[in-house]
Amino acid sequence: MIINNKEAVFNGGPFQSYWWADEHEPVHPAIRAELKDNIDPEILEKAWEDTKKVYPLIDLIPDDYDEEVLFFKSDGESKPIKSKNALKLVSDAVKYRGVSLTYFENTASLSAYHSVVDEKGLIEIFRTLMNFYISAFKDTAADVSGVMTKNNRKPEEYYIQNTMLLSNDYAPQPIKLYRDIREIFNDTSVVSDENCAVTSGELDIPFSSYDELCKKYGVSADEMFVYAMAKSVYEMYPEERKKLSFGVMTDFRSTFDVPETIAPCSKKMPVVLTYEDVCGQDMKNALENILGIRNYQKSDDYIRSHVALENTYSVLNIRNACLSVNFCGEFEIGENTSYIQNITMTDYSIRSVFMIRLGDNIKVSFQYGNATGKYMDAVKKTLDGFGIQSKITVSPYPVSAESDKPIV
Amino acid sequence: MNRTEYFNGGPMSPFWWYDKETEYHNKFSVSLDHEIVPDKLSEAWDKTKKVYPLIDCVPDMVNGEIVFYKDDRENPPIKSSRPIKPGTDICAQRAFVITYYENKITMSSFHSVIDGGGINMIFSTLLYFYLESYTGESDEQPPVETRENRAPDEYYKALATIETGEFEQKPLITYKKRKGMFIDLDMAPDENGDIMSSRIKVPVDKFIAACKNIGANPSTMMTILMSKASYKLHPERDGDLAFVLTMSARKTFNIPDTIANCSTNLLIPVEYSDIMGDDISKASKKIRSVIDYQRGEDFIKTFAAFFETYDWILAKRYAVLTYIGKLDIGKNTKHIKGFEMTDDATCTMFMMELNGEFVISLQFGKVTEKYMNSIINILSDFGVESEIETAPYAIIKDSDTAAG
Repeated sequence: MIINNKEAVFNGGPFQSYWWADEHEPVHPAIRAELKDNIDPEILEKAWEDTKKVYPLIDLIPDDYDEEVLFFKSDGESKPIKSKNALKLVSDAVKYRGVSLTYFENTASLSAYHSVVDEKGLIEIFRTLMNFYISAFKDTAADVSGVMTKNNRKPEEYYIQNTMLLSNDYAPQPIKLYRDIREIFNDTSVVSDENCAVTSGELDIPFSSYDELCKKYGVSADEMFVYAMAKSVYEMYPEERKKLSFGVMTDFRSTFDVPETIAPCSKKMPVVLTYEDVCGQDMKNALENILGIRNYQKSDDYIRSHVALENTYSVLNIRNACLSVNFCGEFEIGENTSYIQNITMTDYSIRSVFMIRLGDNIKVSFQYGNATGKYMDAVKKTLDGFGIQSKITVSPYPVSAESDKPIV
Repeated sequence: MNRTEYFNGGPMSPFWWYDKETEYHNKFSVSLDHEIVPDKLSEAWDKTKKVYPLIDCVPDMVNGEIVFYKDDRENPPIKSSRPIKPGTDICAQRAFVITYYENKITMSSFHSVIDGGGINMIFSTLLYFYLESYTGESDEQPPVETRENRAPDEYYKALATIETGEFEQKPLITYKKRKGMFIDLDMAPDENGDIMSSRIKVPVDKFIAACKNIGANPSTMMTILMSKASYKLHPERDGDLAFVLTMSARKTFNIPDTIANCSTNLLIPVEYSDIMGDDISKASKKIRSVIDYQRGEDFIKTFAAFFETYDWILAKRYAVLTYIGKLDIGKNTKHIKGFEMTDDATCTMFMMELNGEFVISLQFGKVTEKYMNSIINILSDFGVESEIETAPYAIIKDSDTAAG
C-alpha cells in the first residue's frame, strides 16, 4: 500500500488518539537499566539487531493516516546511540523510528511512542534485548523461559491493539463514573516544575516483606499501593474529606487472549475511595473494598465493556486522579536478572508511579512534579506504619526532554 | 484593571482555550431588507444588554470557573465588513461583539460562554428590538425574551452546573466495529488555510413532507442526507459512519431561559446496509430510536458524568449536525432575508428555519462543493428541490480591527 509516496508494510489498525500527543510531547515512556559494567557497544548493537529480528515492526517507521497507525519501509539503520539523553522519537535523530535505544556508561535506555507500544510492550522488548545483551556479555545461553526470542514472526502475531478488539457477545457493564467531579480531591499543589518536563524520584520497597503483607490481605501489589497512597494523602491533608481517585493500569491481554502483543492493549481504570473507605475502617476491610472494585474491573465483561468504550471515545485520562499506576509488574530474565542493578521507568505524566520488581526490591519511580519529595516521604512514612522499611534511593531529579542530538 | 465581580457561572468550559486561539468564532449573521441604521442598532443592542446584562460583562477564568466582571468601558456595535474577534480591545474584552455592514448584522461570540441556542436567543432579542424600532411595529406577545433586570441565574445555567443527584446510569453508545469506519480526509482547510462554507435552501413544507414519508424528523433527515452523501462520494467504502448531533438539553432539564452552554452531543453510528439498502424508513426508525435514547434525562446525566470522569476524544467522527430550529421574532421576521451560521470546523452542517424555508449550511472545507451538490441531488431524490443560496466561499477570519 502506497500512502503519501511511501510504502506501508503493515497496518497496525485504528490508532490510539494519543498519537497526536506523542507527536508533541517532550518525553515518552522509557525504561532504563543500570548494569554492573559499562555497556559494550558492539555487543549491544548485536543484541539490538537480534531484538529487531524478534520484533521487526520496531525497525519500521510509524505514521498515522486516516486515524490508523501504519508502519512504513525504513531507510538508514536504527542503531543504539551513545547518549545520556533519550533522543527525539520519529525524528532524523533516530531515523524516524518510533522505538529508540540509547546507552551511556553502564546504562541502556529504551524509549517509544506510547501509541506504538504500551508499558507492557516496552518492557517485553527490553527484556528480550537485555537477555540477548547480558547473555552475550557473560557468554551464557540466551534462552530463558518467558523471554521472547522467536524470529521472523508475522507482525499480527505480536501486534494487536485494543482498537482491533471489539466484542459482540458479552454482558455490558456500567463503567465507573464520578457522580460529581467536585467531590473528587485535586491536589493543586502538585504542578510540574517549570524548569523541566518531568520530575522523578525513586523509592525501593523490599519485595519479601511487601509481598508477605499483600498475601496476608489477598491483594496485589498495586492494590496495596493504592491503599498506602490513599492513607498518605489523608495523612498529608488531615482536614480533607473529599473522595480520592486512583487510575490503575489494567491489562486487556488475557481477556482477549493476545498475550504476546506489544501494541497498546491496556488502560487505567478509576478506583474511587471515600475518606470512610480509607480511614474509617481497619486495613482488612479497606483492602477488601479495593479488591472488590478491582476484581470487578478485571472481569472479562467489564474489560470488554471498557474496550468497547475505548474504541468509540478513546479515553485519554482520568480527571483529578491523585495517583496513576502506570505499570506494576516484574522485570525478570532468569539468571541474567542479577546482573541488572537498577530498573527505572519514566514517562510524560504527573501524579503517577511505575512499580517494577527487580530481584529483592520493588523499584517505585514517583512522578509528582515539584511535590515528588513530599509524596515519597509521605508514602515511606505510611509504609513504615505497615512495618515495611522502604528507602528513598534517588532524590527528585529532572527528566530531560528528548534531544535532537546525542549528549555525551 | 479595576473590575467588580458580578456573577460566577460555575466550571469553565474547555472551549475557553479554543476561544482564545481560534480565528473563527461562532458567528451568526442575518441580512435584512434594508441598510442597517446604526443609531437604531446601537439602541437595540443597549436594550438587549438590559435583558441579558451578562453579555455586557467581561468573562475570565478564576480557579477553573467562569467569572463575569462589570466593566465601565462600552461595547457598541462596530461598523465593519469583517467580523471582530471577541475578547479583544476593540470590543472592550467582551465575549460578544456586534458588527454591521450594509444590510448585514453579525454577532461573534465565545463558545465557552454560550451555545448555539443561546446565540439564537440573544440575537433574536436584538433583532426584535431593532426591527421594532425600524418598522414601528411590535408584537403584543413577542416570541423573544424582552424582560429586563433579571438576576443572572435566571438566564445563565450551564449544563455542567446542574445538580444531577441520583440517577440511573445508562449504557453509552459504542461502535460495533471500528476497523473500516471512515472519515473524509479532504474535509480540511484548503492550502491557504481557508475554510469553505455554503448554503442551500428548501421549502419547509416540502422538506417536512419528505421526512414524514420515511418517518424521519429533521435531525434524522440531516443524518440520512449526510450518510448518503458520504457513501455516494466514496463508492469504494462500506464501513460504518459516526455522526454527532448537537442538541439542546434545555427542555430535558427544564431550563428554557438559559443562554449558557446547555447542549449535549448525541452519537449516531450508521451502517452502510441501513442507508444504502432498499428501505430507508428502516434506517430512519433506527436513527430516531438512537436519538430518543440519548435525549433521556438519565442518559444525559450519565453522559455528563462520563465527561467529568474521563478526558476523551471521539474516534472517527465524520461530521457534526445541528438542527437549530426556527428564527422567529414575530411580525417583523419577514424583514430578515437570510441567515448564516459558521464556526471553525470543516465538518459541520447547520439547519435553521426562516420564513418558510430551511437554510442548510454546509461547511466541509475543501470538499464543500462536492457535498453540497451531492446533498442537492439526494434531496431531489426525496422529492425536495433546493436552491443554492450561497455558493461555496471562504469564511472571513475574525480580526481585532474593523474594516471597510
